[in-house]
Amino acid sequence: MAGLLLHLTSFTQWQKQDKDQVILCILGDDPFKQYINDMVKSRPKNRLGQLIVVKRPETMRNAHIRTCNIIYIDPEQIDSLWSELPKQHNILLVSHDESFISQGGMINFVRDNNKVKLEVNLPAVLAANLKLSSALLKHAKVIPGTPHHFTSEEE
Amino acid sequence: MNSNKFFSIRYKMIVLMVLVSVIVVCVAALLFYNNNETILENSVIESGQLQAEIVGSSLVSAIIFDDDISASNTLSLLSKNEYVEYAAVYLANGNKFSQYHRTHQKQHRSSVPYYIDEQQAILATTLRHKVAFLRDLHLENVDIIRDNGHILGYLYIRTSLEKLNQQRIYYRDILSYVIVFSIFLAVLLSAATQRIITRPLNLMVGHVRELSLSKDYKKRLNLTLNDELGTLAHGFNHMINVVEEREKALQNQSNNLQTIVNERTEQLYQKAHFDSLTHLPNRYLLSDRLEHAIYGAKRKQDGLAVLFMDLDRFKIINDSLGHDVGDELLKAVAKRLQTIGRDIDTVARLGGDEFIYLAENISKPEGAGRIAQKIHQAFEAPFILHQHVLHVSASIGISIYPSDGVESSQLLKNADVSMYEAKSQGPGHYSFYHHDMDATIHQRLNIENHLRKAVEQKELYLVYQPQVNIDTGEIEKVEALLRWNNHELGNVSPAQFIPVAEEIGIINQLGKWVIHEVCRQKKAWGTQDIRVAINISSSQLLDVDLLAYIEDISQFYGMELKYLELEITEEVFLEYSKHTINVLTELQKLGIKIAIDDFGTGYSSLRYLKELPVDTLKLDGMFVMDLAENSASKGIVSSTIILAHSLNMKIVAECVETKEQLAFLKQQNCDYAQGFHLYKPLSADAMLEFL
Repeated sequence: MAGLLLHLTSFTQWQKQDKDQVILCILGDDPFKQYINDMVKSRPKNRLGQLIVVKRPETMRNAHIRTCNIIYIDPEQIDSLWSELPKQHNILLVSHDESFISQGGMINFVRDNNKVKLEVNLPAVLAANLKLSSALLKHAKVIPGTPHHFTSEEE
Repeated sequence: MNSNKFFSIRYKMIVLMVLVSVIVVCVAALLFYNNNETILENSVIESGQLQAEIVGSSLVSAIIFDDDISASNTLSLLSKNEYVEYAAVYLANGNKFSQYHRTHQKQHRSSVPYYIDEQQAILATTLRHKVAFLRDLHLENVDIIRDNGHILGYLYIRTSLEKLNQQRIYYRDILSYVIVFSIFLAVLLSAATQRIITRPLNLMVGHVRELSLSKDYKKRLNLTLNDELGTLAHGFNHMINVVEEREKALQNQSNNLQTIVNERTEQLYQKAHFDSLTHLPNRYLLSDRLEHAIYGAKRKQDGLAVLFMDLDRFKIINDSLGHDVGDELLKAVAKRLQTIGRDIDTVARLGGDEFIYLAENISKPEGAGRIAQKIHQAFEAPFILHQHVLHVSASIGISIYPSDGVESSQLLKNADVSMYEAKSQGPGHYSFYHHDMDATIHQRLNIENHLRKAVEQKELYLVYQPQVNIDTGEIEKVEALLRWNNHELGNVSPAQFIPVAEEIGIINQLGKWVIHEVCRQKKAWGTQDIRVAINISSSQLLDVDLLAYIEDISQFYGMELKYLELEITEEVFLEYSKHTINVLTELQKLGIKIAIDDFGTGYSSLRYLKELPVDTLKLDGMFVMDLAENSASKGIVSSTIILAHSLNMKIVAECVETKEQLAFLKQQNCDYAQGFHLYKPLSADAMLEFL
């Protein structure tokens, strides 16, 4: 799942992005632990030649979140994400939870027959002004969904 | 020629050209084929690689996202390429990720051992490279699937080479057709183009063949080519020129040789058939003519005559005047003989001084006799040669066909025999053959044979007949007379053997023996004051040795030459010449007396008597014997005695057999007398009594 997460950097196009690096933020409980660090250490750049930077911010503050290109959110902390995330952003949101897509998440890892599959919420992706590679989409399960509805409280 | 067709240049050239073409075409075709095959193989390998790379690259995301279904779908795109039989994707760890194969050929493929086993789940480490194996029937490609420089996995594709092999077969077929067509073309072209070389060659060969058959070197090769064949043709023509010239030269030479041979043959014929000196037919041609004449006479029942001529005293002339004069005489004789003849007659020379006159169409002996007389007439005029006046006569023997013989040899022999008979009658006679002559001629031949050895065998001896001074009755001189006593023949008279000695040319030898014997005897007799008279033949007188011989011998025996008298016969007058006079004069100067024997019987000429240095005349005995019966003889004897004395010569009367004769001679003042009435010839010993 960690490899897959890193590969996502190669199949995604951001609207406003540093050409040289992709910042991957892991929020909440980290299932990848040191393993993902080792992978990045061994392969610091993705297919497109961008440097992958893994961040693990302790607090989910606004300013921090805006610097991330990809956020993997611990399913336990999905709710808090919504509260911290600005209404208009350009971040690929990835998690591992059954309800994540329905809440307006963009990519969800699904375990199927000992294999990890991807579920994609295309409207949410497009809403965030992100473009996913057709190659990724070819291998992903596109789920009909909507972008996250921000409540007023959240605002 | 036909059997050599296959060895002809034409066929060799065709075979050669075709062979060269085939080799070139085959080599070119092989190179082309190899090159094309390589290109084809490379293209197959490259397209296989390309295909693997393309498919491999489209498999990257499927591997990344662990999407085996997608990978399987991607692989199944290879079904568009009908030659791909099997494909498989392996992950980086070698585990098979996905695979594809053409279902209907699965069974067949798996049975092939060295390909990847389709059941095998893991790719062998040795195959984890980018490789391409070109097998007999298949191409195997392995491509490495990479992502960002990292190996994601491996793609294995096995492609059937059916297409390549089909193309190979196609190319092979094409090349086979090309080769076959090329050979066909080469045969056609070489058959057509070889003419360029072989036509002139065949022309030349034909020409040579024609030459060797016809031997006609006039024709030339009409070839104008600029290549070596032209040079060859030119050289050939040049050679023929040379040959023709040689031929001409040889022909000329041969003609010249033929001419020379003809001339020589003619000369040889002349030489073989004609006498070189007189140009008369020789013995051989005469034999031919005689045979021919006999044949003709036999056919016509006619006769013919063979006249055998022998010149009288020819040997004397030859020996004394030299061979040149002898030869000239023979020529002159030949000339005269030819003028008397009839056209149909043949005059031939047998050799020496023997001539044959062959007279044809002679039916009676009289005819032959007339011819003999004609011949004698021809000899009447003297021959004048080299300032010599020669009185020559011929003895002629005649044989008549068929009475005296029917064969040529017999006729010739009998004519020869009768010639001897004629000769025995004296010079200038002719005689017809009679069979009695055979005995005579046999006798003569016998004499001849023994006479040749007479001196050597000491069969000769001298007798001496005294001559008496009629006035005093004393013996003043003796005449030496030659005698021959042969053990077989007995005593042969000088009348028989002297002519033979003259004929066979030993008369001079006998004469010298006589001189020698007289000198010896004179010495044996002692210093008697007596003269010895010797008979000298005319040929002896002409012998150039005579003078020197007499001097030598007389000196040897110490004999004074005033005791020597030489009696010559009147024949000497016939050879009357300056030489004779000189010899006689020389002899006289030495003190030798000269007497003329048998005076009054021969060609006595008073002119000669005047000019010749003669001391004594010997009156022929015939006149003396006739004295009793013949008053004319008395006249002759007395007038001859007067003649001798008036010429200041002594005179001797021979054959005095009676005292009447002696008395007459004494009365007529004859100086000497010789004869049986006085003395018979005496032997040397008997002679001594009277000295």
